[in-house]
Amino acid sequence: MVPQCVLLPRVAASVVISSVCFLRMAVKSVSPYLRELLWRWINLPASGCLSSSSSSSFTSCGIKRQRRFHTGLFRSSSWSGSFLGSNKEDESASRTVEKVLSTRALHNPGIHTKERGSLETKRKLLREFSSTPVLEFEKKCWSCDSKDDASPFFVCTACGAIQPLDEGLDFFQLLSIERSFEVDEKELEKQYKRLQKFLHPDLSSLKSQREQGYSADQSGQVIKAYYTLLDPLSRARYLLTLNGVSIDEEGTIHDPPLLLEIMELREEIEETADPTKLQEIKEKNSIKLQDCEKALRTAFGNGDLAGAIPLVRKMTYYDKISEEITRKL
Amino acid sequence: MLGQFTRGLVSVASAMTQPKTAGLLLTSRLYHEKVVEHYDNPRNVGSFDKDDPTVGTGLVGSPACGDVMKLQIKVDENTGKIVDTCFKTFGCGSAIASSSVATEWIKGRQMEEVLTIKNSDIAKHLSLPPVKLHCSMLAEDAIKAAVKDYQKKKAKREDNNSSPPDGQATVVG
Repeated sequence: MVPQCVLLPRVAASVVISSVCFLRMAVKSVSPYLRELLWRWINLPASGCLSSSSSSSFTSCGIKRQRRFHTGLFRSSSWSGSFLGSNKEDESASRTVEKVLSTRALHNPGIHTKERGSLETKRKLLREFSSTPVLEFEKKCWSCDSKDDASPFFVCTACGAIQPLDEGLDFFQLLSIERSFEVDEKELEKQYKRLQKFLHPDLSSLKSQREQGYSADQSGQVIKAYYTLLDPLSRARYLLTLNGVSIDEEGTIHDPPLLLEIMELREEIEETADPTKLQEIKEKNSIKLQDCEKALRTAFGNGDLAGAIPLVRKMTYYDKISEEITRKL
Repeated sequence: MLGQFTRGLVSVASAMTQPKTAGLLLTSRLYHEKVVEHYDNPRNVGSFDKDDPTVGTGLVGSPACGDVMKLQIKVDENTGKIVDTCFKTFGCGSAIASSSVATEWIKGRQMEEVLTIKNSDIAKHLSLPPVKLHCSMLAEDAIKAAVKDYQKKKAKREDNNSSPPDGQATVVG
């Protein structure tokens, strides 16, 4: 005769497990998104119930139920589809993840359901099985799967395949240049030419469509980086952007001395058609631009971003004047 | 098979002879006709003497694109009504059109009334695209700056009139 104190918990536990199984079947019939939400909610009481019980008879029937519970779940591909997205590579990766998790469940019955089903576990496994390049994970070649710790990771050293563009890199990192307003233009040009020698799309015309796409992205970004860092004004604006300051969002300015000066210069340029006079104004303007550049060098060198902002504004106006004179000449 | 080939050739030939519709796509990216009209025939271009006590000058700039806009108003001191306006803008077509529209709208109105003109009204009137909305903002700021400048000049003049002139001896004794 089994004592009541042992019988009651067993009955209660089996009632809970069967109600959970029933709920799971109900959840399967509901839409995939709701299924995902309900599954996470169901996991919490189920894990607590399964892990806390210690009686042997419960454990034996519990394991069997566990296996049915989990293999049934992992057969549902639409659930993993809703979590991982509709990418074909992700689908094959998710199937592999499912197999691994179900194998773990079979061999390690003591593992918490919550841990097995957690998003973090799946993400960790996805890193090993998915070939979709993701920035936060360690660098692996999409073609041959070999690891590489080069930064920036342009080309795989093992198979020579061009890698996708790493959007997390700024222009300085891309061209392997120290982040500073002071830039050695010869070094910049040297890096630009070195990279274009193997990244240019013309050189990957015989490669796959995918690799050609990566080559075009990488080459385009290198060109953009080179021209941004070459011109002192765009370099200054870019440095301010990297530090979270945006000149463009400032709106209107009311700086009477500067605006008056610009207004007078523009009127002078408009009224005269004499090339000598225009050249004279251009030369004076070039001196002002050079002075601005020197002052910016000092400001960035001292980390004085607040002081750099009015200088960038001034330089924008003088640059516009220079453009206007060139257009007229 | 030959029939299919000739049919293909005919369809290509007919497509080539039809007028190109690509031009229609381009027109949606060009300036609106109102902007072009104001750019070709700007109203109230000119300059007043900024030292004139009845003139208020608003000088504003946009650091993003390097545009500069000067808007001047001539005010009737007794009624506070804006009797004449003029502007000078160095910038894109949208900036020129915005300032031209602004000078048209404020002429003949009270100073307090023109402060209620919003950049969205100007932008809507000219059908400015989102990328050119800052030009209408510049025009609104120019109006406000011109009114503020006139009021400052007026206040200064009144201060000079109310304080006793220098050199007047104070009676002691």
